[in-house]
Amino acid sequence: MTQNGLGWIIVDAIDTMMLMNLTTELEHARKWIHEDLSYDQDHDVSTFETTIRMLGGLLSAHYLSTSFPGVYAPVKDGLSDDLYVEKATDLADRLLGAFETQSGVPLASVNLHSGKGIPSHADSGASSTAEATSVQLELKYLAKLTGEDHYWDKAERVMKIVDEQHPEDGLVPIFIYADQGNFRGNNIRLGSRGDSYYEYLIKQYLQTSQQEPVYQEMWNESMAGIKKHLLTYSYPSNFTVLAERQNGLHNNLEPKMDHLVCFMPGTIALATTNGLPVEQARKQPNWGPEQEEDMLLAEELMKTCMGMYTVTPTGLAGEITYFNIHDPPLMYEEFTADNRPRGPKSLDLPANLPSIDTRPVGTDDYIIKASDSHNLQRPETVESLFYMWRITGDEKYREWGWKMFEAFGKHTMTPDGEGYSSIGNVMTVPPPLRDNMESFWLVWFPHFDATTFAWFADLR
Amino acid sequence: MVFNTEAHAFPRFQLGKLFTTGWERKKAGVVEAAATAVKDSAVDAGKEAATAVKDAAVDVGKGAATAVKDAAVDVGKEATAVVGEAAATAASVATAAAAGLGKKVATAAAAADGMVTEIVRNEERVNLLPGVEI
Repeated sequence: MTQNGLGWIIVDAIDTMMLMNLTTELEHARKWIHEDLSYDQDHDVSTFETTIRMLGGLLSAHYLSTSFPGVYAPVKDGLSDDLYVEKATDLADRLLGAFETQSGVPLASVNLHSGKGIPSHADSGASSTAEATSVQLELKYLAKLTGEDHYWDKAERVMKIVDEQHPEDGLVPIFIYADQGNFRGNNIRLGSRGDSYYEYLIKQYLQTSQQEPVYQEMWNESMAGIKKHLLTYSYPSNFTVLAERQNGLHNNLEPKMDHLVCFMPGTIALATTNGLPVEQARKQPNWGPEQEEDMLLAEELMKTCMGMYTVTPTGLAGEITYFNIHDPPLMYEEFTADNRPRGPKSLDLPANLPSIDTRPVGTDDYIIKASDSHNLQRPETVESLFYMWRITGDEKYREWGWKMFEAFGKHTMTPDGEGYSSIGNVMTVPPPLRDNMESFWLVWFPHFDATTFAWFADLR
Repeated sequence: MVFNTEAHAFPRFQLGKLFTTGWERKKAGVVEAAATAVKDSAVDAGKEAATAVKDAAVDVGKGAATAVKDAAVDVGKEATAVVGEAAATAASVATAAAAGLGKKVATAAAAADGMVTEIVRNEERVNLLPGVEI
């Protein structure tokens, strides 16, 4: 433990306090940051988690307070406007030690006091591919803010090294060695350790106003690879499944989806319209049948992810879901836009009809193993619902978001009503609470759900 | 606006004068290109050696018994087959996608070396055919 703590939840939730106009709490947090928060602590932290939660939280707070003055919980506490960015710079300088490797790929951890990088204790010291490639938005924004290009250079070098490994069809193995920059093994998945590599490809392209086409090119390659190798259909209802290839692209398909994969429907929609509402995007010169197909894919995957919630008695998804699939697997590319399988039209049981089967839609398609039945309050599905609603305008997504929020409220609230907890089993009602709350719970859900997606005028 | 993977909001911005994409994608075939080069040189070496063997065989054949001539032709064929096989091995080893380009190149080169040694040995066998004047 650190002597003074690092304030994970406080820093992660500053922008939430701003969006929710919690002025008193925000002033309290700012005072703590100013007076007590020190990153000069002899403490090893995850390079990735510290970048996205702490550095990201500070930078977001800086952005919202300086670019929208007086809009989000304005405070007059006499503290400098640079409060957040000063802390962010100090933290980033410590984190950069992790990038001092032969290849430039960062090590998994770093000591905040010494700035010395530390290899992972597991996985033969290899870093997670997603972690190494999901620090770019933060470091590049900090570079832009400070005019210091070394943040930029460190971040983009990682992308260069990964691309030089020439991952087949743009699909990356989930581990990478920091010394040589080569991949470890050939486990391919969009779930843990793979996920945000893909997310940050398209978001890097968007962050710099579509002026870096290399990242869109890489995203497009990956999408083609996903369609070729990973997309299959569940049995009997034909939900679209984004599966894994745990022994390389030319070996068996594993019909397993981590909940983490559910960032994909929203991200596909974001990548297809670049954040524009689809009606506007359709008027753009580069819109065509491929974009329509991709929007349909986003819609189908969204349904699959929502189904992970609606098939359980709690209305909450397990950490990992398996699927029954056709034998041999039906693959996305065996079909064309007009004959491709689609999941059930609705996840609701037919109303006013005496239904013989009263089990939730998709019950025979989804498999939740006992070891995977916990729920860590993960946000990927609500994130995707947010994007899908903002981009398609379909109210269905807002309704699904609300339904999900109600399930969290009902089953994860602590007995004293003062907080929320992750739960041990989504298949039992009431579920056992785990006495743990991830800091991201306070970021994603208030951002996207409690406000029923109402804030922020423009995804662009 | 763009959200990081923790839902923190950042602006979209222009690269401006200070920033640029500081790298370019290398063609997907750096490893493959090196492998092809090894393969090509192996094939070339093989062809050259095969020609040498053939020439030697022809020389041997001149003024020699028909049996010896046939034997020389057979040896030549065998040598060519060995060359082909060795080249294929070199190519497959070299093109197999994997980490460690240097190792791959070394393997392919070793295979090519082995092939040339084989050819030299075949030449020697031709030279050592009994009763032949060279």
